Amino acid sequence: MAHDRKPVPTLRGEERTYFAAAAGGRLVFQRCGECGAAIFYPRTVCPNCLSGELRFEDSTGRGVVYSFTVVYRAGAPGFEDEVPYTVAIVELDEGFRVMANIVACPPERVRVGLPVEVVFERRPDDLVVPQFRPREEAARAAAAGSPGEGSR
Amino acid sequence: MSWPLRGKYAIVAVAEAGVGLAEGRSPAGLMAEAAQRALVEAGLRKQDVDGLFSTSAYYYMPAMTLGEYLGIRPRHTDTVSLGGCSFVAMLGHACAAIEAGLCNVALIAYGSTQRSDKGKLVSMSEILPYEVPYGPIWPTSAYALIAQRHMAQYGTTSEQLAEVAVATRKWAMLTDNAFMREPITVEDVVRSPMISSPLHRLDCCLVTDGGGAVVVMAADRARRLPTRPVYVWGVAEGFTHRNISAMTDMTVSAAAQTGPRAFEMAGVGHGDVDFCEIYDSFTINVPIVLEDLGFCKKGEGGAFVSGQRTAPGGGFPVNTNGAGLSYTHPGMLGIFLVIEAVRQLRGEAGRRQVSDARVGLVHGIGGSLAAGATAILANDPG
Repeated sequence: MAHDRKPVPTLRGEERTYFAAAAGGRLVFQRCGECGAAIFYPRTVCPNCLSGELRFEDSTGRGVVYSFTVVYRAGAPGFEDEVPYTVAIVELDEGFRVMANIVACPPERVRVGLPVEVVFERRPDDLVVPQFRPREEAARAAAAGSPGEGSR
Repeated sequence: MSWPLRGKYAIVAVAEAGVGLAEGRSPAGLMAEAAQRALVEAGLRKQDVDGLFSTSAYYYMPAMTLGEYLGIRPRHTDTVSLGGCSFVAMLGHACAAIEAGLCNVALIAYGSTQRSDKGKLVSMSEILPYEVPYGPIWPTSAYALIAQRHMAQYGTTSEQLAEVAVATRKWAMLTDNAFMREPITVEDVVRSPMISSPLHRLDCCLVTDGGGAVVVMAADRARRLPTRPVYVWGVAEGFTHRNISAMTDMTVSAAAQTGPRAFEMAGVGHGDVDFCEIYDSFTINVPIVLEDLGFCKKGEGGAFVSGQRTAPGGGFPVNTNGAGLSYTHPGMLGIFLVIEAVRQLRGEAGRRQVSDARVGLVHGIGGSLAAGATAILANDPG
């Protein structure tokens, strides 16, 4: 794969915490201890009430596609061999949204509202990024006895 | 309540340089050339300029770069980073700075050689850690996500978006120095190559070079200059997000905040606006902004722009020189929207002149439909 040429963000502070959780197979978000808001991306203070009492929680990793785009020209180095690929905004059941690729799914099958679940994709430099695949795909994989790890 | 500064400040000069392809000139060179032309137009000397306003993807300290290049040492500078709409927001900043006694003559300038750079989008943006790993085309894919959501939620169609591109091209055909002047059809747009669905190549703005400059002064001083002043009646700025995943409602832009404020500042209603200049980096911007500004209901923007309504003779003039889709788009479009609005309000727009243009609305956009700035300009102090 051309993963080794894909952009690697310089992670600092709470950004590192998020991707470290992903490396451990967990999609995390924050819950505000004061107002209860579900927060993504991780912050040092709540964007709803400015409380500093934020705790990380594990997401179920289940959600739906809020919107998506099929990308026909590589948006960054390392994506050239993958066009067309899908970039989506996924709304998790806990109420927060993330960007991710929809994997294990032909682009023409992606639609707004598609039920998806998280998988984790390994990149060089120990970077692990959360990705999403259709939930029916997960059911099929389970039936075939393959592991839940994303293979892409 | 209308704005206390309404009509008190005016745009006294506008100029462009190297719009399209600017061989042999750097971004600073284009800014400087446009600035020089603007000052000549208004009969001002460079010693008169004591406020410098600029932002840039090329220069880390853009006002200092511009001031050094021109030999101007201003006593006030402003380098707001609201992306492409910064130059619309700067109209308000300039009025406020003059009102506060921080400067008297505000020079706003921009330059880019994006086309000469072979179309590579120059950016000082940090690598957004929660987005960049997924390979979106910046900023096209963000607008594509917005368009897809608008389509899913309201039934907006690719053909409706194409209407915007076609109408805008018709304005460019009336503009001598527009970059793209060949007629196009709705079919041409929807059959052009898909870049980031649902946006096709002809839904996306041009990649050009260009420099622009605008001078703002107190209206009472402006009336002694040779140019016809265009008065600032209201300017409002705002933003909704930085990361596209943080855009709360992907069908509602900052224009929903800035539009009502600008109208209130200006003390005018929608029916008073004779034309709009709307930041059309992508076709989807126009229907969404028209909805957010209140020219139609949320979700009805696609229908609103249908039937070539925004084209010459269509009854609702938008982007009257061809704007970003057909006239020019050197990285940031905001200053060029202001320049075109001023030319329309002066009655200098030639074949594309909107008849009896008295009040014009400019709406700039920055980032991934993230920031917005609305200015309402008029050819009388009101």
